[in-house]
Amino acid sequence: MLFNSYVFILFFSPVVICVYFFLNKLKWYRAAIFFLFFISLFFYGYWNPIYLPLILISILINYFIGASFNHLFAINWLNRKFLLLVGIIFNVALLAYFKYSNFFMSNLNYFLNNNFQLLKIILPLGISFFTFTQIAFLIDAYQGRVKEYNLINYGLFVTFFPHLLAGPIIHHTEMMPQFSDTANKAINYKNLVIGLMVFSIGLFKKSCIADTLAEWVNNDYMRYEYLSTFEAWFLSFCYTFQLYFDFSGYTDMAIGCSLMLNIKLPENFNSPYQALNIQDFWRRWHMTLSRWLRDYIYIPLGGNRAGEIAIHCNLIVTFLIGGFWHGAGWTYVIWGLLHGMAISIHRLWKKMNIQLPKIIAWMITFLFVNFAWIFFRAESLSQAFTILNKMFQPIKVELPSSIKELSYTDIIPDLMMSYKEFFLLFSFFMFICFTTKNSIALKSAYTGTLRWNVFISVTLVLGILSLTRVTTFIYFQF
Amino acid sequence: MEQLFYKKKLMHILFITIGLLLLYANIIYFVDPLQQYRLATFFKAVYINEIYQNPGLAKHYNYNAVIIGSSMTENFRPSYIRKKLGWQALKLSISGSNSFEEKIMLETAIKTGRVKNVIYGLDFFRLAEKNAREGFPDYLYLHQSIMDKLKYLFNIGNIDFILKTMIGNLGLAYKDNMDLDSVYTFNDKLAYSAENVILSFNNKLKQGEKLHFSLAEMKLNFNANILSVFKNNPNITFYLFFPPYSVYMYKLYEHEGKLFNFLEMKKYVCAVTKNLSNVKLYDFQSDSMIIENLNNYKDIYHYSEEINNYIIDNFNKKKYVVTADNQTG
Repeated sequence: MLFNSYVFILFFSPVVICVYFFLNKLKWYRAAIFFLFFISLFFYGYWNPIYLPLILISILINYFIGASFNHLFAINWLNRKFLLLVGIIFNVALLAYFKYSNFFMSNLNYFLNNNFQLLKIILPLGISFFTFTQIAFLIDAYQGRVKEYNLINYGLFVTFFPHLLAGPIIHHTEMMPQFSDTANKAINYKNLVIGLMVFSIGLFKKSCIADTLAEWVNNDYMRYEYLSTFEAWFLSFCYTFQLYFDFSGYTDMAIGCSLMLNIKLPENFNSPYQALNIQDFWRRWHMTLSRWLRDYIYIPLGGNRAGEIAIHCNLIVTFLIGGFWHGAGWTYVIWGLLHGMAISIHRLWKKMNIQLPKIIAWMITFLFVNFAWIFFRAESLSQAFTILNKMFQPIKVELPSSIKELSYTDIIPDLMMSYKEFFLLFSFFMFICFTTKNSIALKSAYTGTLRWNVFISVTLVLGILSLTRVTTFIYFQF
Repeated sequence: MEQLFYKKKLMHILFITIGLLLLYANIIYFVDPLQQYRLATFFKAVYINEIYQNPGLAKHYNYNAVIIGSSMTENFRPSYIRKKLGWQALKLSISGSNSFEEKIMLETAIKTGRVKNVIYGLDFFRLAEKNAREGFPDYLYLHQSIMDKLKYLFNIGNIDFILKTMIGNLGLAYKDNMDLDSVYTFNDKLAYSAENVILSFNNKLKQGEKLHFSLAEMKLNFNANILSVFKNNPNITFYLFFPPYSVYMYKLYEHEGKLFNFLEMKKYVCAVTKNLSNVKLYDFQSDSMIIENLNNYKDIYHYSEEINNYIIDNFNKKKYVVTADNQTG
């Protein structure tokens, strides 16, 4: 199930909130926890229940390994370190099989001229996220920072529906105390209002802004070979904003609906495109992933205590892994590599102690991020390079003949938004992104005046009205 | 105290939200820009989008014949059909349609009980596709559930239709989009010439035509989406025809190795429809007088209105009828 769907907004979330607080009101605390766990599994399996067994097995195995670190079972004959290793390998192997096996096989086919049949695997929803969440749990448990003796609690920690599909990536220690705190078990109207506000903003970002930009981006990516210089630049900016509004909108919805249940999820985005350097960017973009990579990859590799050269290597390795985690393809690897190199260059730059004017620093950071997203979005390296190439081609006035043909047989012009209209809309989205308060700041700014309430209602209404879109069919050839 | 304050605010927000949603839905129901509930009453409809506006027409317009197919059928004019065949025809063509989309379009019309004759242009370009294109608004078509109705009433895209309808009714634009006889024709707008056909051929040669002609899938979809409708409606006469693409299309398909499956599929269609008394099959594809005169075309596929009229002229003649004897494939 997705947050931006009728069934979630009109049915699932109201029912979950009512039943959860009703059970708690009766002081059936265990039942309420069990209910949340059960309903999260329902949320997960709503479209395709086929991967429910997978996530349940993964939870079970991680729970037993984690619990055995806390001497729930007397497994003294097993080395703790060995057990940790087994646990991590299990999680990584599961992810590797479901997400990366076809990538590895097609590369083997390419380099060794083999012809392995690719597997027909549907990627289990959220596997990247629950794998990282559980690896963090195992390491925390191994180091004695976490103790969890209850299987249902652990299951809820992993599957709690707001964060299950796309994060934020959470820690056991920041979640489970909230679930056991009795103060959180009674309905809290302040949290309901603020949660609803954050959810509405997220829904608006996702279904009104990101999905509008997506239509334009997808269209231009389909005809990427024919882009003019201006179009190529414009496309890259559109995608940069699409991704931000999409992902941060999704996170807002997650934080919002979790808050309505009195559970505070960690923040994940803090106006990343206003960052003045690349390190700053990663402290504002997908913050919980950055935190995870730092704590469970970069620091174990040696962190800042390693030698200078080793630090640079570690930074790049960390970002390579981060890149590859986003998707099984060379484009993601390159994207990670670019960011790793940028972070490493930034580290060297800091040593020189030269202050750039703010606007220049911002521009360098933003343009770099913007270029890197081209690799992130492109379906292949050659597509990414073609688009980059288009951005730096000499400006031509005349359209290539193929585009002429495309424009008069394939597209009914009335249906497409014109460039002018779209550019206005795009400028408006950019204005929102750079000048308005982000949803973290808005949370504490709410005062309850009529203007605020109308603002929340209107964003929510616009979000709901945009759930079903009028689709423009680009492939109008016949 | 604080709880009470926020409880009140929550009630305000919910009240405003529900109020706005109901207001919006009522406006949409009243204006009904896609004619889902009734034909346009206090304004003239502006037709800009077949996929969204055809189903409303199919449900409420007065007709006894429909035109089904892709852009190969968009140049038919109901007035010409009325003159030649005496039918009150409604054009339900969908640009770029596949057989599944054609099926739900046709069944939406048939469900009204008004359809006596169907003019059906049969293409194979998308026949291998099983489902409607992504984003296809099937909620406007057949068997609408309550959820489907809500998707129309609570859809912000309606604003665009309302705005364009207003612009058209004020006489500011969309003059050509308000007459059902000429709407969606691409006749005067575009150039028909041998030069354009060759240009389009060369472009396609370079890019490759990204279409699939898997025989098994085409047969499967033909049976499921087209043949089944023929068989389920014995009282409706179907004028099924193979549209005359330019000779350059065959050149391209031969070059790309698609021609064999294309011709095999034609044979298959002939074979499975020959015993159906309510299906009349016409083949305009082997007439070299049409397909070799490149000035009839604007690209390798699309022919001009004269050809559409010619097709109508020949529905009551024997010349292009496919029978058990003249099948050559």
